[in-house]
Amino acid sequence: MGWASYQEDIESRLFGAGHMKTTVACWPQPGPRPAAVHKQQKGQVARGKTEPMSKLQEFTVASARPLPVVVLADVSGSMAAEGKIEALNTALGEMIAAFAQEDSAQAEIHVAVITFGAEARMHQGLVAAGQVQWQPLRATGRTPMGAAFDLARDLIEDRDRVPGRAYSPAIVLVSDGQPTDAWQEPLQRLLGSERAGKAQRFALGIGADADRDMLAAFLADPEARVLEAHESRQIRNFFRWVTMSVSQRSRSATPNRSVMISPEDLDDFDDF
Amino acid sequence: MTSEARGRLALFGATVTGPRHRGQGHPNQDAWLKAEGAFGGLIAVCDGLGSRPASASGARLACRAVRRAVRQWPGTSVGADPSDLIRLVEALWRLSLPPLGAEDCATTCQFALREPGGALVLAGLGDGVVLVRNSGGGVRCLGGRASAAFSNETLGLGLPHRLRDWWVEVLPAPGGSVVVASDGVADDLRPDRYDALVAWLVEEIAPLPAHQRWLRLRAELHAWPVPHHTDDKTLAVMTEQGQEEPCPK
Repeated sequence: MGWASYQEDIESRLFGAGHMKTTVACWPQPGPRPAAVHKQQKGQVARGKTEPMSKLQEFTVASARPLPVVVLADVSGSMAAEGKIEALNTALGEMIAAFAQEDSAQAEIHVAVITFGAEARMHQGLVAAGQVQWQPLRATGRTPMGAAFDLARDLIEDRDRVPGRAYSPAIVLVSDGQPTDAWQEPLQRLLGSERAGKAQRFALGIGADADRDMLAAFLADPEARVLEAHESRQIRNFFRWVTMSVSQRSRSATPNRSVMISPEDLDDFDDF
Repeated sequence: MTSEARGRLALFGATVTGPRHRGQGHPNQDAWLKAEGAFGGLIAVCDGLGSRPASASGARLACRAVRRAVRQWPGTSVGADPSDLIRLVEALWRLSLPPLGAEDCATTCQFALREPGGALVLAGLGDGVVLVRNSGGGVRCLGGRASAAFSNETLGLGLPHRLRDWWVEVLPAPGGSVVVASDGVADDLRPDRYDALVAWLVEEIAPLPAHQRWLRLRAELHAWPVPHHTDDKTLAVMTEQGQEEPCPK
C-alpha cells in the first residue's frame, strides 16, 4: 500500500486560489489550449458562455439557477374602478420586462402570476421572465385570497417546478379589499410550509378598503412594511421597488439572502 | 526494470475556483483528498460555507480529519459501527481547528471509503452528492440537498446539527465506482444522466495518465457549461482498474 498522495490536491487548490497564476499548466494534447486555463487573473470573472464547451454539457442542465417571483394579484371586480387594473397591468409588464433584461445576474429570474377574482388561478405559469408573453389581467368576481395562497404554496413546494437548485423565492401580494373566502388557514399553511415559508414577501394594499391587518399577517415580520397605494402611480412605484429589490438579490454574491431596498431610496418614490 | 501491480484502485479528482470567488479574489472554498493505506482507498470532498471567513481552511481540515479517522476506525470486517467513524471525523475536525473557531470554518463533508475486503462505506453531511455505480452498471445517488432546502442552504461541520443529520451507507458487495461531487457540480447535474457521467469518468478519464487526467478534468470543470454558474466545483472518483506501472530498481 502506498502513502497518501496530495500532489493533485495541493496543486489544484493553489492553482485554483490564484497563487500559481504565473504557472500555466501544459495541455499535452495537440490543438488549442482551453481558454479557461489562462483565465486566472484576479478580478476577472470567467463566464461560462465565453469558454470552450465542456464535455460536461452532456450531463448538466442547460439553464441558470432560477430565482422565482410569484405574484398574487387581486383581480376582483373592484379593481376595475379608478384605473387600478390598468395600472397593475402596466406595472407588472414593466417588472417582467426589467427582469428579462437582467444581464449581470447570478440567477435567472422566473415569474409566475396567480390571480384571484372569479376564481383563483395560475394566470402565468412559472417561466423565465424572458419567456413570458404577458396577457393583461381583467377584473371580475370576488376575492378568494385563501385559494390563491394554496396555489402559491403548491407551486413553491413542487420540486419539479421549483427545483432544489433554485434560490429562495419572492412572493408579492397585491389587494384592494377584504378576502371573501377562508384565508387564515391557507395563509398559515403557506407561512408554515418548509419551502414557501422561506420566501421573501412583499405586500401592497390598494385603496382605503384594503385589509391591512391581513396584509401584515402575510408579511409576518414586525419590521416589514405594508405599502399602500391610493393612486395608479403608486402601484407602478411599488413594482419598481419590488423589481429593484429582486434584481439586487439576483446580482448579489448571496442571492438566497433577502435584499430589501428602502422605498425612499428610489427616485420619485416620495409617496409611501 | 520491473513492473509491479500498484493495486486495483484508481483515485483521482480535481477542483476549480468558481467565477464568484475568482471575481472577488477569494480562494477556492472546496477541498478534496484521495488516499490509500491499510484502511483501503478513500476519496473525500468538502465544501466550505461561503459566508464563513475560514471555511476554505475548514474544508481542507475536514478532508484531513476523514483521512485520520479511517486510519483509526477498525472497519466493518470486525463489526465496527460506521457511526463511530462519523464521531471520529467530527472530533478530529474540531481538534484540528484551534485557534480557528468551528463556526468560522463551517463546511460540508462527503466521503467514500473502500475497505480492503471490498466493502464501501459512504457518508455525507450537507449538500453535495455521492454517485455509486455497481458492477451491473446501475447508478445510485446518495446525499444531496434536503428536500426543503434551496440553493446555498445546507448543514455542515461547524453548524448546529446532530449525528443523524449525516447519511451513512455500507455496501458490502465489492466492485463498482464512486463519484463524489460538491454542490457546485451536483446541483447542475441531470439525474437522468448520472450513469453517463460516471461512465465517462471511469471509461474515458480514468485510463489517462495521472497528470493528463487531472488537467483534463480541471479544464472540463473550468468550462462549466451552465449559464451564470458561480460556485467552486470539485469532483473525486474512485474506481477499480487494473494498473501496472514500471518501478525503478
